[in-house]
Amino acid sequence: MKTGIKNLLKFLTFVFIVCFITLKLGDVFVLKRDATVVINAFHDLPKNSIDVLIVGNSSIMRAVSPMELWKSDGITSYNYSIAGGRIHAFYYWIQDALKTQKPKLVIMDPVTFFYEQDVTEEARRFFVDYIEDFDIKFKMMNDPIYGETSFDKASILFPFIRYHDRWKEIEFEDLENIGKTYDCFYRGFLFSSKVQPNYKGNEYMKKSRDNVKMMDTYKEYLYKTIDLCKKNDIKVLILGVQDIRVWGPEESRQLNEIARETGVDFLDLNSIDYGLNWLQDTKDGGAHLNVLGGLKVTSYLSNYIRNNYDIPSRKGEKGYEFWDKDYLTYEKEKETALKVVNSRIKKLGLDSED
Amino acid sequence: MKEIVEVLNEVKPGVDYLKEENLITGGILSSFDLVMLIAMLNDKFNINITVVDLVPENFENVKSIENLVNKLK
Amino acid sequence: MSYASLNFLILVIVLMCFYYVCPKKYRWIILLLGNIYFFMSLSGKLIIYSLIATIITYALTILLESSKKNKKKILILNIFLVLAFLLVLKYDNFFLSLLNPIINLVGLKIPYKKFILPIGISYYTLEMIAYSVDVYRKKVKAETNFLKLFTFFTYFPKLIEGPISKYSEMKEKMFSSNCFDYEKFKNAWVLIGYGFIKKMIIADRLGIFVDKIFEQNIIGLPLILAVIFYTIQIYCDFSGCIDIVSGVSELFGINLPVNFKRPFFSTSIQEFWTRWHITLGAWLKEYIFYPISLSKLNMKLNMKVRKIKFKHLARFITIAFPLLFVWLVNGLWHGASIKYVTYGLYYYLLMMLGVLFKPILDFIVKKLKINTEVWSYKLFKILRTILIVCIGMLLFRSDSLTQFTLLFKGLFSFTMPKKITEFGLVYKDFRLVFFYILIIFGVELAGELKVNVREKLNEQNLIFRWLVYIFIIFSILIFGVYGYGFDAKSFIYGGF
Repeated sequence: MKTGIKNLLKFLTFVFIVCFITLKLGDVFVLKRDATVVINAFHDLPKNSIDVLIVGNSSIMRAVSPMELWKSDGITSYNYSIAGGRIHAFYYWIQDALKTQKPKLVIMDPVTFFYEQDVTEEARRFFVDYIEDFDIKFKMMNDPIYGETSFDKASILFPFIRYHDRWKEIEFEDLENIGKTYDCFYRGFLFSSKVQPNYKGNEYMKKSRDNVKMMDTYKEYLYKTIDLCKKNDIKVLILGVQDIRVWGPEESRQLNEIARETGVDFLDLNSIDYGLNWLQDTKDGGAHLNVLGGLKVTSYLSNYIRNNYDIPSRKGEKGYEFWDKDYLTYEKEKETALKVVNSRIKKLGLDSED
Repeated sequence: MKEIVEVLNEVKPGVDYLKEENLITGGILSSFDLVMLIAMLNDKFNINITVVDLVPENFENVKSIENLVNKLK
Repeated sequence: MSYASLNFLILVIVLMCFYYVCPKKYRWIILLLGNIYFFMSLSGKLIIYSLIATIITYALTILLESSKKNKKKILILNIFLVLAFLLVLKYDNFFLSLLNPIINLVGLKIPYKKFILPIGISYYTLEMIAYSVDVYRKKVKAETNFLKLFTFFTYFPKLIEGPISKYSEMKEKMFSSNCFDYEKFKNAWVLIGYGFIKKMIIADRLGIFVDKIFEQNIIGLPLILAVIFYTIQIYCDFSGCIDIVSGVSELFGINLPVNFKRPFFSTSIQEFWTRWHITLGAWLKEYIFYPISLSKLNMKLNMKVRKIKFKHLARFITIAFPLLFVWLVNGLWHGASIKYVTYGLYYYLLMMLGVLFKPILDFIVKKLKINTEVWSYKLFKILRTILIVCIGMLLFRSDSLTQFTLLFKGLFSFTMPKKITEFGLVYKDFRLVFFYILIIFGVELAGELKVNVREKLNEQNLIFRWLVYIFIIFSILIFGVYGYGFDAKSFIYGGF
């Protein structure tokens, strides 16, 4: 009997070591995407330190700067967005956020709500790979969208096996990724100093494409997400950031209806004038905003929040000093980007008075 | 006994059949050799060795072959 | 589910838990349930064919044992009925393709019909024939417990790729269990891991390259590489799977017969076929070669030719006659087409030429004073054997004799139509495969030198053993060909 227990312990220790190595190997093998994934630092925030959670894809990632909200109103927030993010991903990201934070307001990006097709498997991995909490991983595993096959399920728990074939690309530098921490001072905001004007202005809001309909699964997850927020006493604001490729009047109309139906707020930046300059403020001809556009949106948003929600200012509060510190770093980067973007505007001759 | 060694030498010469104890398991006689051996034993001693008798033990050495032949005579 | 899959391992682990919790006397019932589950997960209702064939074998062997006069007739009936399933389901189109051209002349035609085969039919049919013949030859007593017999024939580790087993050899271990042994448990997993390395790192990887070459009918140097790779691939795939299932069977305390014994160390093709797919060779020897070669007809033939004093010719004919059947059956068993028959006849021809010209070759060797005992001569024989096997594999891999002739000629073209990295593998892949082939070679060389690698591993200290286990596990996890990025179609390895 004694050898039996000894053997069992030896066996379990071995299995544990194997699982441990597999998890750590995940850090090395998981495809390190470029800077368009800036949620890495979210998990490094101190517990219960943010009051507003921004969640979405590349549109809102470039449109809302938490550091500006801090500067203007002392609002603590984080922009938890990944390029291509879909509503079913938001559903899990919010749950992930709720593990460590207690936001009072969630701001969602609806740009992908009316897409006609779901993401590819490769893109979907984006959404899963950065989740660290096992409880959320289990939930995603059991969700048919993410845990489609048993291989998918296993690779959610052990992302390494999804990327094992990258052994051909792994260099020694990748070993540094084990347990790596990321810069937090952007708070998930990504700003570009590129300028590529949109010469068509607001024409895209004249007519939508034919047959605008939200997919049933997306609708299901939207309702689930809103319910989730309501259950946790969180207000929901759907922020319609501009993207001339996919937005139109029909999308705005439908979303207005849904907002009314579910009792959430919908701020449609496509339908109001908040000072956006289509020649200067976009980095790729109207699909995404650059740093100028982002600052304008955030400024308008901060007013809106001030007038509609009761979000406290944390300036001067104990434990929030690092926000001031991070702001200084952020500001330096912002100034550099502004210099670059303004010189580009000058070069392209876009700074003429309109 | 001597006749059997004669036959064995006809099938596969160059082996000291009086000494060897593991003709089958030692790989000295191949299955081809075995078939030839049986054909010639059948002919010489007017017996009929069948597949049922084809167990390694019966052909491991000269003694066991002799026993088999005697059994079937 | 295939053997080299997570689902299969999970099934094994679950089954093992139930098995060892169950009281020893009834453990085989767990196996029976596992067998049925596994069979049906692959072939569904087709298990009925296996069930009926087992009922026939069960009833007729009991009848045979108790009968006094008609033993032979009952045996023939048994073989005929059991074989009929296989012949109709698998070979119907083959026979029709031979028959139709003839009956076409009278304006008739029988339509072709492709049946779905129950998994393992090529294997368990041979096992049933072996069993009934063994009962007839009084080598084993007829089993009176039908479920035990069915458990044997459907035993899940040997269902898909064999080895072809004998009831007499396995029944003891299968129906009387031992206590769980931790040492055996670890050993079994080492063997399973080794099999996975062969299959998932080497075989499946080389398969990517080989498939593309054959798809595009590439000739020249890449083709030569592909032929060598395919030979390695099929060896690692087949023997790797056998390792996996042998290890799995060991987990239940049941040892499957050995099916491979380092075949590429063979110095002749005769020896090769005693080291490759051993259980098939043994089956053919016991149930085709010996019965035919010792039959009255063959013995008469032998006598007649010997009387003409052509001893060598007598030997040649005595062997040529039964061996022809052996190779026809071998070829056909692998597949129901002319290509496979040719494959069998290829080896038949070479073997017969070898037997026929042996005295001349021996004479030449003696005259040239060639020392046959030195290692360089043995190496020459090994390389010669490998070359013959590789050509055979080219035939085996080609989808038709037409493609084979085309590619065979292409072997001599010495061109480089494309770079070798244009067939799905990069240089890192080639280096990786080479590394693991070296490991396999090392393990096999140790085996040739009579070292039992697994035993030696057990003797080492814990840290070393754990490092080896971790090496095995992570080799498979990192370098195994699985998951996204691989075209699953490329690896559908046709079962027999």
